[in-house]
Amino acid sequence: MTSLIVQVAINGLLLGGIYALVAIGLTLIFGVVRVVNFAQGEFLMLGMYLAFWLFAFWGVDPYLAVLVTAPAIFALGVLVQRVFIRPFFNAPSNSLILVTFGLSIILQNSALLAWKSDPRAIETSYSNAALRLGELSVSVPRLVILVVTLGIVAGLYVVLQRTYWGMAMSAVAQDRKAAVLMGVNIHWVYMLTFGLGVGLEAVAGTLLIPVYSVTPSTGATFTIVAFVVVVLGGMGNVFGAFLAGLIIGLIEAFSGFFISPQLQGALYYAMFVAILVARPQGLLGVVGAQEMGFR
Amino acid sequence: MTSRFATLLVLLCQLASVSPPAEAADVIKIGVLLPLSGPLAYEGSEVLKGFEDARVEQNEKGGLLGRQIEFVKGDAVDAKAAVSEAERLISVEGVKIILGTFSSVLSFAASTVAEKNNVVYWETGAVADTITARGYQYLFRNEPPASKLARAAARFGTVTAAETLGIPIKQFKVAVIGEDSSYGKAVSETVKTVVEEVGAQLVAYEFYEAATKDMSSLILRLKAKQPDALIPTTYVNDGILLHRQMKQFGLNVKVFVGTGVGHNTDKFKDAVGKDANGVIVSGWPSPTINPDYAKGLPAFLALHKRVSKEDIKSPHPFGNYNGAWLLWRVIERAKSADPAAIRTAALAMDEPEGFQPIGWGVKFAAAGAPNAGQNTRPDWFVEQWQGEKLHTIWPPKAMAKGIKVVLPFPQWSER
Amino acid sequence: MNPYYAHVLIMFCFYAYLALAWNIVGGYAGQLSLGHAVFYGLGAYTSTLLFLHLQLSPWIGMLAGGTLAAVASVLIGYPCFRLRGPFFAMSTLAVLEVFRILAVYASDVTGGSTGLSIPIRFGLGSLVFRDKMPYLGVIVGLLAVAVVVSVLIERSRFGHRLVALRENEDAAESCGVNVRRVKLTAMVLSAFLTAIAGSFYAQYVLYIDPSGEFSMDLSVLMAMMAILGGAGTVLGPILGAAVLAPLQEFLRAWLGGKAQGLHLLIYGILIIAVVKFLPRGILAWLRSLVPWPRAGRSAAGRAPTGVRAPAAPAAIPSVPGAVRPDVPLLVARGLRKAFGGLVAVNGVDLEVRAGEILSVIGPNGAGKTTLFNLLSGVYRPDAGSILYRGVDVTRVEPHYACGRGIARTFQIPKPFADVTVLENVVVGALSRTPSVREARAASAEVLALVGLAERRDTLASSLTPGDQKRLELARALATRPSLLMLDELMAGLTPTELGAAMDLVGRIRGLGVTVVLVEHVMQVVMQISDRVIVLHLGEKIAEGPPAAVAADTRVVTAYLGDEYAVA
Repeated sequence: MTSLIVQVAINGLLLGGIYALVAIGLTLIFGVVRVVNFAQGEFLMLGMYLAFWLFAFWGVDPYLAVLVTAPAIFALGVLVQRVFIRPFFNAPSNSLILVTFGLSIILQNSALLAWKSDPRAIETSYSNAALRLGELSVSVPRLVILVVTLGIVAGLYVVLQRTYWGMAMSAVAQDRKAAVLMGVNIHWVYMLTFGLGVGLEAVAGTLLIPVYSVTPSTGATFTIVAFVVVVLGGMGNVFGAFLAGLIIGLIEAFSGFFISPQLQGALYYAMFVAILVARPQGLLGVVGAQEMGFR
Repeated sequence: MTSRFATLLVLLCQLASVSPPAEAADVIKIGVLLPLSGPLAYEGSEVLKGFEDARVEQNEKGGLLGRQIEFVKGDAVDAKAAVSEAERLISVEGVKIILGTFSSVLSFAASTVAEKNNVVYWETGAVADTITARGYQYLFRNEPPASKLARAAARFGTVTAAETLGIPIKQFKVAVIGEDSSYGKAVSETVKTVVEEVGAQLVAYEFYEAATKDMSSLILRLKAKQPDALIPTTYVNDGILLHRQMKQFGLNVKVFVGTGVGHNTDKFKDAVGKDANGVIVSGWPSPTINPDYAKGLPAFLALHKRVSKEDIKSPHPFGNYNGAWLLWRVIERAKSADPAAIRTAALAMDEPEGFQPIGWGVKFAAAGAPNAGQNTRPDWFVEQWQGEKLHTIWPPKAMAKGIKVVLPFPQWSER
Repeated sequence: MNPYYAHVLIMFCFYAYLALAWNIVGGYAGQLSLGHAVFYGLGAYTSTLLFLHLQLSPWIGMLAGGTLAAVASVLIGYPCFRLRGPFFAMSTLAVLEVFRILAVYASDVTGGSTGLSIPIRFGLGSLVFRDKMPYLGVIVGLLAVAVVVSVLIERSRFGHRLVALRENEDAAESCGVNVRRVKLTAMVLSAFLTAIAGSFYAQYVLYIDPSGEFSMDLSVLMAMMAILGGAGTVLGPILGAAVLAPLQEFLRAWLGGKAQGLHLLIYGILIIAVVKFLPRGILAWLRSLVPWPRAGRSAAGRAPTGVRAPAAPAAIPSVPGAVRPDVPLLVARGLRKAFGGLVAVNGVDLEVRAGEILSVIGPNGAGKTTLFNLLSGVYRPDAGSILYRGVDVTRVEPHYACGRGIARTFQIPKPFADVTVLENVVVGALSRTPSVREARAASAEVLALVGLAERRDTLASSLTPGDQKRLELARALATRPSLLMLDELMAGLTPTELGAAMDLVGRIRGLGVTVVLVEHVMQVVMQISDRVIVLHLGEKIAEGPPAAVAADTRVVTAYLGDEYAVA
């Protein structure tokens, strides 16, 4: 029985790693650009498709393809921010919700127009690989995701604390007006952050394509979980998103095993509301962050 | 500004009072209501291909009643859209017959609109039993309902398997799982009923969300119960996920019987390769079915290649082609495209097994019967993946020569 | 009429009704609920289940559904309203998902994913018709009800309070608005109406299922229609529905079958285009094209304006039970407030005597604003007590303090930006009278007193900083306080403005209002105060007449400078 519980825990952590990776980009954008990006999942979907085509046409392994997909989607993100988000710099906050929502519709249906809705999946040599530790089984591609996510969290920490642009991003996250007064080019920061945030989704998508199939609506299934994770972890807090992702993954795994797979979703949504009410700043957010709303 | 407003106003008034156009004398307009956008767009377009094949074939033979068949399409993205599109097809396009719909939810919503307007609703793909439990007069469904899909699968998963493997039915442990939409629920409920009827042990009855990213918890739960048989009702993506994770966690069963969509498409085989072998699945038949049974199959394959310019990728085209084909025959017998006449002709039809290209007979349940409008003759087929191809194993007459049922389901480690 | 167009018309009315219902919470109250379909689904399932199992007429079932939804809205709103902005929105989405999943799970009751069918039995009592016209009649009737409700809200005290809390919750609280209760009331109303729409549509289509009823798409659509048309108005949501509903239909009809997803793509582009080019909604854009008098706002009760120096205003009576000047109005003992490790107020005793002007001074970080916040109910003290006219108000909410007669202004003015100057003050006046008409009259008087009468119809957001401070003051005065606390009113004022401000404070005291000031501008402190209290690092270090305090060495040391000699 213990080994079964450990297995469930492992599965939860691996799943949580996926959720964390998907949420990190979102929390960055949330924290710095102050945008509720409804279209976040769509960038994940685009990353998956891109990786799929690279593999299907040129046999490029996804772990290599990341070097292409991430910058590509980063560039797309910068463009999107410039074209769709920046014009609403001073608009009431509800406007941006609608814009990103419209954006998600546009992206989903562009994908549908271009690639139809057949599920696309690939099979790599490691798609089904699993490490065996006694009775335990650890899915290799999922483990890779977890490790990469950890690496990204560490990398982001360094970037946000040590590089100019990283610090600029943190500054903007904390106080936009003050940052501007300190000479930070806020529009560059926004473009960079948005690009980075969705570029991370592309990384997630590329690492996920060996394991899941993609359709134009695949992104949407990740978006809402990402939101739950971001809020649970604390808006704008990368490490918080990581922790929260793992927690959600564990909750899902354990509730699925002990209670019912059908109620997994209901459970963590309910917990989400409960946490928002009891501790709105999330695990690692700053108190009062929830008050700040947008601007 | 004022004059432009006035024009717009007049235009709107005109639109509001337009009555449906009189049908041109040389075409017969048939409404087609399918999910062409949104999450079911793939399946919807596959069904549409089948309808198109039927239409082209009939038009080449001179059409129906001397008129060429023309489709008017409606995009049923979701239930509300299905209702609106049905309204539009009926009131604006003036169709008197609607072909549809793949999804039960969409079918429920749209068929009510048709019924209220005395328009024939010809269902060729949705399986929820309750669709034909409403006593509708103008609703007809060719394919058998979910309960029969479930029974076909459950029969194999319990009695047939237990006998073949030499395990007494009372000791035979069965796990039933399904995705939690109407499809998975409807089928699984009946599977459960059959399991209990035959006296086998139901060791698990679980549902999960089709969009789930991880079925490991479910699989571990099942593993603890050590089932002999697993009868899952899944869609494509979750079916693939289930397979891969079953293998990873070493959940071995002696018989694996899927139902329909999740396990009988090439997508499944492409994704899991050799691991598909041994999977039994009830549902539409594959192209390897014995052509002596499904006499229309070889011609259909050629037709499909010609019209859709591709090989069959899923079983939907053939099955739904079949439904449309039957509608053409009914219209011919009615000698009219009027709903009342079609209804009479449909109810009067009484054909034995072998009549339809797919091999099914025809006998619609009469008005007043609890399942009025349901074609009661057909039963679902059962197939098995062997050598990475689907082969029909039920009904026995439909088995191609040399094909036998392979049991038990091979262990993951042996593959 | 062609049935299809009747259908489109019905759908337009249906969506307009939904948008108006959402508007109560999302537009007037400004709470972006993206999970409103929760109530829609509750309505649909309640009336359908009652009909199927108890043969209860959907007319009654509708009301039952509405009631159930209203109750649920309190249970949902109570926790969720603690959140703001996108977090509130997220929580409503999560709640919606929970209900949808539960509806699927509880299939014995709800029919699960397969849904529930309503039998076709035509009749008025069963609300099932073959023809479209009766349905149209019903939905038009419902739409009319929604319009009437919205108009009534706009004209009522409740509506003004909703707008106030939308613009600035803290300021609204200080004007006597019980923000939480008002939000919940809005939610209850909105939920009730939304649920009825669910029942209607169930009877129209005769089929319900969890995804269709607890639908995120529908929730977002409701919000979008109201926002695109113009949230917070009556015509706005209707306009939004008029554009979006037929647009959806026609786009899908025109393009749906042709290229998969093209119509949705265009829909998405349109959403962004409208948000970009008509950011405040279609209604605001239309209004900008055609000069349109703001309905109802500046109509009746227009007092003669243009008089610069205010004439002798009608007396602002103090709260009944006038007190004697030698009796303390407010007594605070041992007040302490800490934020984590920082002790902002450390054991402060304070007495305010009726009729005096008391100044609280001290270097930055002394705890002055924290003290104000403690006295006005914004913070709860960790220790200590506050008695106001003999009543314990230690742990009260700001709106209650306002009701007791304690008013305050904010260091950084918090006007209700999107609303006129008069309307701002009306919110304050509404704390004393339920009648909007009376409140308007009283507000006009107060505006005359503070010298803003000319600006009564200007939007608060376009006022100069100096005038915004006047507005703060006017709003606070309109609540008829007996104690008025002014937080750095004089900061940033020009010398001329300073004189006028001091004059005003004096006149306010003359009307029977006790005034407590937090100030840095020593000139003012010295000139108008009866007494001065000095705080330093959270403690009271001196108290007494201005001159005595200014000469106190402890005070001088704390400030490190005696540049501010008595003028």
